[in-house]
Amino acid sequence: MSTPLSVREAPPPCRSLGEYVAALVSRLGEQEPALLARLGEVVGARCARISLDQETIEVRFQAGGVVVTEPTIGLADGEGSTDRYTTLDLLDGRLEVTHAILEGRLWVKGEVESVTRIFQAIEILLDGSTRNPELHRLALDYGVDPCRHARPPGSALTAGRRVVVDPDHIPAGEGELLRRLDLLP
Amino acid sequence: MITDTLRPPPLFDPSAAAYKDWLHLNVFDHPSGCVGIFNTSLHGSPNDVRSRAIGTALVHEPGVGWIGNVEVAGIEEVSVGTTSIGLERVAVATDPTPGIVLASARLPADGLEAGITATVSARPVDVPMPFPFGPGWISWYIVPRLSVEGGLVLRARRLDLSGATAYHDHNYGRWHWGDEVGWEWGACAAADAAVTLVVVGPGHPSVRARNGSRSTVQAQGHAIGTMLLADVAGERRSFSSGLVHTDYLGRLTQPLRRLPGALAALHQDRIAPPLPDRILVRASDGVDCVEIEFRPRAAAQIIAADPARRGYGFIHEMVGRFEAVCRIAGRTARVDGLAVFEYVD
Repeated sequence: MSTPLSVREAPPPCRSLGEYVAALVSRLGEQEPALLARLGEVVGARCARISLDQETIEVRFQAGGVVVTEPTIGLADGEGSTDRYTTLDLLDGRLEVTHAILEGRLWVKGEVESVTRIFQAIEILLDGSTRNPELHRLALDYGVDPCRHARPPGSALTAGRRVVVDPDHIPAGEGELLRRLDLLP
Repeated sequence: MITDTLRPPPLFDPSAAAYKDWLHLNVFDHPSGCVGIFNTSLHGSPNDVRSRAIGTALVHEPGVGWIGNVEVAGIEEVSVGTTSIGLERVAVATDPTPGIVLASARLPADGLEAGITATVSARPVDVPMPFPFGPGWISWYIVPRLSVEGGLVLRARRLDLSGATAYHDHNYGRWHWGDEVGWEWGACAAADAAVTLVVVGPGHPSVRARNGSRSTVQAQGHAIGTMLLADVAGERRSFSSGLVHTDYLGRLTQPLRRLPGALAALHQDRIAPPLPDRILVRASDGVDCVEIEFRPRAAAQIIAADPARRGYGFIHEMVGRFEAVCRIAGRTARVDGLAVFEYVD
């Protein structure tokens, strides 16, 4: 039962944000077409505008696949933006999604239903990645993409840096977030 | 001596997709209070490219927090031997003769490097029969105490482990994550005495209550309770189900380190599981008696995804200090030290 240890010998290719999104969806469909179909049902004809650092793309589902285009002047159904360090911190388990939103490191805008469906689509991709080695490999590629910033140095997580979601506990940043979004009564 | 090997499924095993095998080493550095968790595991048929290996290297340092991370790799990217599982950055192996467990981790981006050699210093416990475990089964091999050589590099600071002790186990069996399975387990290592207490049971009661029928270890159709193994200066006692009573008090409010990050993002509903901040274990057979009080200071949640079908397991590692009174063979020992308790559902 001995197998050789695979060590990455060559760096992965440089990919744009659009190429990563397209690869995510196509690799999901190759391994689990049923999940791809479910993804299409969830997002329907909606258009999402996604920004990562200086890159912005628009994404929509069409004919069983994803179409990635340059941003247009028209309104997208939902918008999300973040930066590379935030995505790496999320992938490395250094940051919770809740904390990223409360700190303003992950920003999402849109009608409630559209935003909910976009998050559902992300959940389908994450769930599918656990049974899809190609998606897992894509995440590893992103971590060491030679055309992107290196990972920030690791840091231990302390209580003050994390958010506890408890029905009886209001996180310190929540009031500030509501004020920033003008949602306080 | 360690008389144990990995247990891969034979060719044409119809339950190969549910194959699990893991090597585990807990390191208790008594002078610094650091507790290390090193684990490498295989999930799914060795012949299925979807199968995964998970390598965990986490150290909790008092006053600092969790250092380290989890590495996930495809089964084809892992070096698997008769008694070893090696990922690119995390590896655990046993050497049967003279009886050592080796753990290494190279996670500089996460502030952790480890090179550990642990030598058996207490008789192993072998439970080779397949215990019914949900729809599958589980078996295990335990070395309750090992002496330690080697060191850690924690955020560029070297920590010598000559004052540490360790605990090792090897679990194997057949189940899918997401099945009706779960367990509780704990290992307590005394600081200045050859005392190790191992607790194994069917799961945290609050987790059982939340999940209904989940989290039961079943044997011959009957749910079994918590068991305790006491190894006190060479004297060993096992307290079986019915002789061990466990109380879970309070709620741990420390936020968890949850790994891998992508699965933590997927399971936002698991961000604050109901873990206790105090655990009392009392075991008595009318002659011998052990009482343990464990106070966790932090917890980590490791999420295991099943590679063959949709399902997840949530492994909670709680670290902290314990105090115990052991009355074994007419002698009373009061001990304290470091401990890890684990709850899985």
